[in-house]
Amino acid sequence: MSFLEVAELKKYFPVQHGLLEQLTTRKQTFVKAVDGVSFSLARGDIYGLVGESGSGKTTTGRLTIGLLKPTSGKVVLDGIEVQKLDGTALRKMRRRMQIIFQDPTASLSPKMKVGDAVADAIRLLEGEGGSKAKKRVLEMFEYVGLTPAREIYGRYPNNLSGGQKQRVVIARALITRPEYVVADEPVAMVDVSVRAQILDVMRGMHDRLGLTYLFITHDLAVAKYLCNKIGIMYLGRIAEQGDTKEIFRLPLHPYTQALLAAVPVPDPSAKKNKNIPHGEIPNAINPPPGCRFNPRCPFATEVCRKEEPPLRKVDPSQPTHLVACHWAEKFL
Amino acid sequence: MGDLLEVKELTVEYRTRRATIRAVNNVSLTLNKGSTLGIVGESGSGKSTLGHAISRLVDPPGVVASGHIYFDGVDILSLGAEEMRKIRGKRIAMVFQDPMSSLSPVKKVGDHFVEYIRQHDPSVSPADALNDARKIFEDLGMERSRVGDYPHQFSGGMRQRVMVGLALALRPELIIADEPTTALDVVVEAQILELLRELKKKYSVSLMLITHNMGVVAETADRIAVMYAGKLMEVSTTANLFTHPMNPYTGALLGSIPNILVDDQVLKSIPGTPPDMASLPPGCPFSPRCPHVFDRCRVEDPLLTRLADGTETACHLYG
Amino acid sequence: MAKTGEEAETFGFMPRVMGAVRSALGPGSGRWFIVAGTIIVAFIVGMSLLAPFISPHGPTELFVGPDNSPPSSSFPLGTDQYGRDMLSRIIWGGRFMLLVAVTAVILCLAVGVPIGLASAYRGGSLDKVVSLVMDSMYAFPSLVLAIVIIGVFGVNAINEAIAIAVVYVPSYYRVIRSQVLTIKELPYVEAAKSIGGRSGHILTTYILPNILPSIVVVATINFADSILTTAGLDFIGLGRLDQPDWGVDLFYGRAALPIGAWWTIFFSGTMIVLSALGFGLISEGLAERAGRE
Repeated sequence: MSFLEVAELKKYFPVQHGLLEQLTTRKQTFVKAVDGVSFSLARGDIYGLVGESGSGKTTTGRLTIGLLKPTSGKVVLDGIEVQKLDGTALRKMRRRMQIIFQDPTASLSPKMKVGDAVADAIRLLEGEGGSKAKKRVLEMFEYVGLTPAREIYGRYPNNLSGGQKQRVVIARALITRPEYVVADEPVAMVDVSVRAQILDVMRGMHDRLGLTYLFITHDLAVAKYLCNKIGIMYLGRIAEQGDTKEIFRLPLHPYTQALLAAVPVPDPSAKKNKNIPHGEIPNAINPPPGCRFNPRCPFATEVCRKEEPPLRKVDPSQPTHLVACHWAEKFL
Repeated sequence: MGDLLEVKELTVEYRTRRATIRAVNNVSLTLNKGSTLGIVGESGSGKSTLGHAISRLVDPPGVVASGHIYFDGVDILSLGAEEMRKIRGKRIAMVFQDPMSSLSPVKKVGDHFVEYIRQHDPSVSPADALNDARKIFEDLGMERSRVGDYPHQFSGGMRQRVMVGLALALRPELIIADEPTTALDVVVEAQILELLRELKKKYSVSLMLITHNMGVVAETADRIAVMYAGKLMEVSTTANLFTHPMNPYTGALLGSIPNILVDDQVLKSIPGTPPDMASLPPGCPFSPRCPHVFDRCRVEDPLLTRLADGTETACHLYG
Repeated sequence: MAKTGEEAETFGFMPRVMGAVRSALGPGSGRWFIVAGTIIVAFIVGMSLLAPFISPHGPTELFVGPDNSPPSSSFPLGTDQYGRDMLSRIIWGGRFMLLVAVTAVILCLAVGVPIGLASAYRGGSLDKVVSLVMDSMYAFPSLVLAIVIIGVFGVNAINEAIAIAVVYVPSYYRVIRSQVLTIKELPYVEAAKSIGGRSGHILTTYILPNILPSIVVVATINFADSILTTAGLDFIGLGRLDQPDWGVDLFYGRAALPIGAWWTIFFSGTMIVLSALGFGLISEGLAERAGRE
């Protein structure tokens, strides 16, 4: 049985209408941020959930740790259905699942010493406070490279660099030794020269604590570097999923191929397939009928415009490589 | 041939009561006509300030402390406001990161073009200006009729196309693009970069592309200038910069960023963090983090020197 | 994170005038405002606390000197129509006003802060109802309400404080609510939830410390407003006429004007303006610092 199992997860957000619209239309429209997402993680996986804006990756991440309740679908962590939990039971579960946010500055209260911010997690989730908690925080600061730990403990966020703040955020997420961690674009807002450090810290803690990560990012290069499995999301659904090596060896979904073609590569001599699709991601209120990518897909046919392709195995020798495309076999 | 733009020993400072920050520190570089110069750096590197200084858009408390900016032979820093206004837009145009802040939400996009064109040449009739806008829209890959739409009716990527179009409307000689694709999704980014490459050729414009993304400059620039903490660290051709970087910062940076085409990549992270611009260490600003640092680096700030193959670097290892 | 424009609208012309002065003096002038304001307030508070020790005469002692005599060496601020020493009355005159102001602010904080926090954080229909109530209270002119309360229940510090507090709570509510609405969407609040924080804990540990600067700004303006309201009540005769009080001096002073005894009202009036100004300056200076955060 897998450690984390996500099944047909859906999250629809009601659209706020203006007063006039509310009076004249009976229909409620929804932003279908997540529209049927399924995947499973084994313990120790670093699963890269890759997508552009509007893909639903951030919402998916938050659904898996109970920060949002799904409209339908299940999130099962170590046998427990997370979406059914509330109140105290949910809080107890929080010890086992945590989140690292994207913006290190906005994730820390400006009026709290960073050491106290991390200690608060211990207090709230384990009921332990005082000097014992402080000792654990100092230890964690050493692990993540925040030294001198004692001095940094008493600092306020505005006295730390972006990289240091992100380490604090990581420390806070990992201090209660969770088993499952969602990392929401953890290096997107960190300076380029510091990103590798943060990725090292995350990898180090993964190995040390035996963590399972859901690594949300728009940066395929980072995903390739860090993740052993990848899921590509487009407009609320998974387009392609599988082992990292396999996805990059043979991307089968036209959208994945487009992403790979589009990513700027720091190598001027690189020859890339330059098939960049036209158009942009449509909004998630009215996704195109059939395959969501069909308006921009160079290979779209009639069936693509009518039927939504299921996420399926295409190559029998690669059972974990799943693609949601009617024509995936073409690319084998 | 000839340099369209020559920046000479330019220093730009932000003077506040608390500290004076040297955002651009004694920077000299050139941009050849028809080429693309990439300015690469992280936050605080001064790259954006450099771009703004060239269009003379540096606002107080920022001030150009010293140096010259020769555009087509004329030092634009010595020009009066009126003369500079003639140049800005007509000969030097800028594209910024956020298109929304440059477009008025209550004006149709076509009207932006008309106003912009007629501001610089009142003899052009509104009808002609609008026609010009329609032609540009075609080049941008958008329907001509969309000149009648309002900014909010465009998606982020299309708005940025509009900005590129506006920048080209007066047929400038130089476009300075400051992080033009940073806020865009990767596929749209690729579209915009391709657009810039195409239109650069079609309209014969020179391009200064400011970004923190090494991949973007690898694909788009002919020459690259690397900045760190306000200082020019290396200037080189794109090919040379990536194959043999001549500055430890460049080398360290390249070794720390993931490359999607490399399998089983090993990244080497750079220790430390970019410096606090209000309290720079003495000597080379990269010295606290440099893997090849020695004593002289901590005391003496290296000057930019030219190497045999034309590469310029500011490092005691080479000069 | 206070928005000074919003506060100026909320609190009337004084912040607007001071805001204009501050803009004219340029950024960073806020700290001088705080310094100047603190000096003034410290002076007035010190004087009021030390009154029993430094006042040359009793403030209510009649005929210690000739009546209506102008400032002289023996009576530096002159005497009023009852021969009372103006200097002593000035020294003693602020105590009641300060007492009322402090009480009003405490009441406002005790009532306004929890309501603002809870209502804004919970949102929904509770928030809508409370906001409606607060908005209607906001429209009340403080002086009128004070007159009604004093008229019905009598003149004492508590009643005046209550009257002022009732009218001022909506201002606290507004400022707190707008801040909480913004902050509760910030990642660090979501982070607090993700580490198991409950609403109460989040409000007190994560949200309140970040809105404290704005609350202080409101409280200091509250002080200033309170002093002016008390003075206003005194002036129309709804003060404690037997006690030393700057506002009461103005009341008595109406009789003195026709005979040219300017000193019976000038110094008292100045002290009222000065104390309001002192708090106002602190408030404006703090607003600038809060705005910069």
